[in-house]
Amino acid sequence: MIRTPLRPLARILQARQRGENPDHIERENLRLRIEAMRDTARARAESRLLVMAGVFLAGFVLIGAQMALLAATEPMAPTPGRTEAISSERADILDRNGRVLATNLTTHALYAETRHMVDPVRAARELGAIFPDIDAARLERQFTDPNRRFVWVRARLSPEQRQAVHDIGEPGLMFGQRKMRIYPNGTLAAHVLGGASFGEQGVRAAEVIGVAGVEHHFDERLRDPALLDRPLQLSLDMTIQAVVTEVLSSGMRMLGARGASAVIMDPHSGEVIALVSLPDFDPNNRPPPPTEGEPADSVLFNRAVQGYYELGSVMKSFTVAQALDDGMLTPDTMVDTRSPMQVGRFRISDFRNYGPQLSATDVIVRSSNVGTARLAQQIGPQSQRDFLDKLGFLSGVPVELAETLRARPLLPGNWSELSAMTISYGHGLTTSPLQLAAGYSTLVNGGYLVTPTLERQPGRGVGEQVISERTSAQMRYMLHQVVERGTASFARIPGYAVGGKTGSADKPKASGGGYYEGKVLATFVGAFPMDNPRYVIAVTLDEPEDTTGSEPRRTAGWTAVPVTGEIVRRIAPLLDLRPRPASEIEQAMQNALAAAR
Amino acid sequence: MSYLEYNVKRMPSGIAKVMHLNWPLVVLVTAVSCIGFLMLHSVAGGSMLPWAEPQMKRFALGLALMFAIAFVPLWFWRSIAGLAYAVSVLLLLGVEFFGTIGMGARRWLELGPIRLQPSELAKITVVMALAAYYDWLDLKRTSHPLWVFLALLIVAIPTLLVLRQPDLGTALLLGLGGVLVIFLAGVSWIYFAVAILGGGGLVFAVMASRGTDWQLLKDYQYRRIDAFLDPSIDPLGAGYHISQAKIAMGSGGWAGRGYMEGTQSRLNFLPEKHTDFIFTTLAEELGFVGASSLLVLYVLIIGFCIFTVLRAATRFGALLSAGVAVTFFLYFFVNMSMVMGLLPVVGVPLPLVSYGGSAMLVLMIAFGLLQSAHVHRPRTPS
Repeated sequence: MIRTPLRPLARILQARQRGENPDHIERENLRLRIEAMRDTARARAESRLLVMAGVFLAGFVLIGAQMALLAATEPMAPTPGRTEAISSERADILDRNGRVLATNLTTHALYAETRHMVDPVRAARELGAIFPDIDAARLERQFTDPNRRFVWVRARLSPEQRQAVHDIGEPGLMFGQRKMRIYPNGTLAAHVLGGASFGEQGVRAAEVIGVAGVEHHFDERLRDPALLDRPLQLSLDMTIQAVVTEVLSSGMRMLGARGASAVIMDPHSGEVIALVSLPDFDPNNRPPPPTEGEPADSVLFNRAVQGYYELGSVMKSFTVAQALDDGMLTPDTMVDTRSPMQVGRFRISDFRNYGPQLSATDVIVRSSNVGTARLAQQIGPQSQRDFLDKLGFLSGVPVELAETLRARPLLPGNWSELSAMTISYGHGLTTSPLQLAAGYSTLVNGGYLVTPTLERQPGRGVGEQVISERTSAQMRYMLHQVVERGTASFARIPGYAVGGKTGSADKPKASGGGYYEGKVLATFVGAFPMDNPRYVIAVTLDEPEDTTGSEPRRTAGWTAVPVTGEIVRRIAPLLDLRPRPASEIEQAMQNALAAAR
Repeated sequence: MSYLEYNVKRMPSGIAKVMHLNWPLVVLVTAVSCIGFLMLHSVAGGSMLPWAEPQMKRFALGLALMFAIAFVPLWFWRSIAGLAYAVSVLLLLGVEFFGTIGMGARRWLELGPIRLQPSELAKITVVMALAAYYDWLDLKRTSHPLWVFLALLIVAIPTLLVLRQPDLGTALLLGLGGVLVIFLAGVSWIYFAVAILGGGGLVFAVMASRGTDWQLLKDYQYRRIDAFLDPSIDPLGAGYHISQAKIAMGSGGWAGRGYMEGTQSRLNFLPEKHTDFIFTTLAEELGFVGASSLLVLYVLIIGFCIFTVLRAATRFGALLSAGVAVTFFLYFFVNMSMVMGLLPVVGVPLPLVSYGGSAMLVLMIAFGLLQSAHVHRPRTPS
């Protein structure tokens, strides 16, 4: 850039000749230069402001246009052309034995075409008498408003109400057919079914769309015109579901628990026979999602699927299974259980001291934290992580419920040796009860991966084998011993050979950091009959407390285990299992072990 | 610009300043706030409590604050701009360490009886700091990389602190507002062109790499982006607000269902009906006519802000007023777009209408500063 010099030599010389002080020339030029700079800056600022104003204007126009569009898209009276396309058809949902879980009922909606009304004032008054909750004065205003041609009066009518409206004799009052989704069993399997509500509404029909649960997951299939006469069959057994719900809710009440869940699964196919989460709700009248409080306290929350918790000692079986499978130990190998065990600044101790050594079987039977942590130390964090990943514990279990989309386990940020040790006894990794049931299915079914499903799929098999047949047989024996002589003796139902593992996890504080004293999540997960497991069951109780003794007992052995025992005692006969003599079961277990060796 | 420079020019003083306020703006702000009181009254089912009455008290306090600030000479605000900025950054740091948690994020700071949301305060202090910075900076250096970097730093520090809370909506407004002020200050086009191209390129690279071997993000992160951009993927979560809001707005039609006749919002279909989503109630009850009237009021407010900007002869006054206009615009633009489904849901209130103390007071303070610039604008001697 060429600039005018501040002290042009020629002019200064001229000024000197005239005998003037040349300094004012420099001052004058400096002023001009600054003014020029200010002007450019000002021009630039104004052009920028102009651009900004343009952007503002574009924003205003955009918002205004969208406003007009939204105001115009849904006219008060649905246009006749569009209603033809609305289908309110929806296939039924059945349980595995063909009993109805969800079906449709035809009702009517009431609307008014004000142009055809003979006496709108009387019609409004009489409607007010039929429906006490309707504001008759407002209705009258709407009926007589010259700008309105169409008024929705009511979404659903009972047959009596419909007859009463007929009797008014007002030609402008019209009925539109509505299909209503009903769940004849009320709250039964509420969390699985979810619920439905009206979607797009027209005069003659309204879409029924699933808003949660299988209704949402299978929404397209249920509404597919080609499949309407083929009901969706779930893997649930309504009878079992009902019995489990009843026992679980009375157990929850007796133990003063905040909530509870239960899952029963076929370990050879992954089909879920029963899935209960309490407290529950009535899907016929699904409550709106809560706007305040913890979502996990809502009745809509499916504890068995969405609830990812630290489940405690039930996870020990996976550590022992991995150690067995890697050939690091046999059920009789002695494990160091000197308590407490010091790891850096962290101290691992047992519920009571079990002496210097326990056999691997007794580590599970007595539920020794120290013994399991020692095994995890030998396995190592990387190998443990890989094993749990293979079983699906790191990624969240897929099942046909909309709610599983966002539910994921909480993993440790850094899978250190210390976290490997705490994870080995169920702290530091969260798991849902459904996932736990799937994991135990793998432990007892011969070592094959299981993906849970809620859809009846005859002939569905299992996945890839991840632990050996031998390890699985050893695990079946150990889990049976837990019930026969260990922490889960209340689940000993003669003749049905129940086996499983208890877990009593302190609940983490909601504020983060530390655990509550005396607030426990009690879990029992097991299978029956143990010599050839046909069903896996997982029961959790949230903050149970058995107050029948001299001091409150909260551990799973006193809470989740007796509840599970009662469930098995009642459902085993319904599941066509015959009680067998103890000697026969013992013999079968021994044979399996011997064959595995 | 110095104290002396101000007094050389003819400047109203004392009570005469009242005559020189930007009165149309005062009237407009009051009108919009009154619409807010009406809507809060309606949302509460025709009751002054729990929302309308506290909001009115806050507005009264805010109005007093606005006048008080308007009467203080602009040079004072310029000289404390740096201090105000530093204090707000310290408060944000305070939230980071001592803040209380509400609705899953750490946003509030308890100072005795007062519950303060420093992220709201930062919106105005960042604008003040930038205006003072460019007022101080030699014009020739405006586009020098070092000085551009410093300006960006002024914006980035509070933005990142707010982002950590996490409060995506406020961080977005803060960052975007700051960058727009820098743009208005006259920094070279090239920076903005490069930033837009670079940002676009980055977004393109991230999305294009999906499903390939060199995928830049984890799968679940992509799924989150999907759900953020298209809430209908997740109708029980983020999509719930939007679909309900759209139904409410559609049912309002042209003339609306009438004041206090809204069903969609009253029947508790909409969470946050008194805060971020209050516009749906308005649109349902007062229809397109009511909603577009509110928009017109907002347009007029912006218009009178720009009037002040054009009148201000000093760089500080002009940039400060422009910053206030930009912040205000972003507030309602983002809120309305979000409610009408043009933008993903981020938590931004509707200015002067949504229930909320910090936002209302901060906006009134901002208008007070703009009024101060208006009152104390240099006038040519008559």
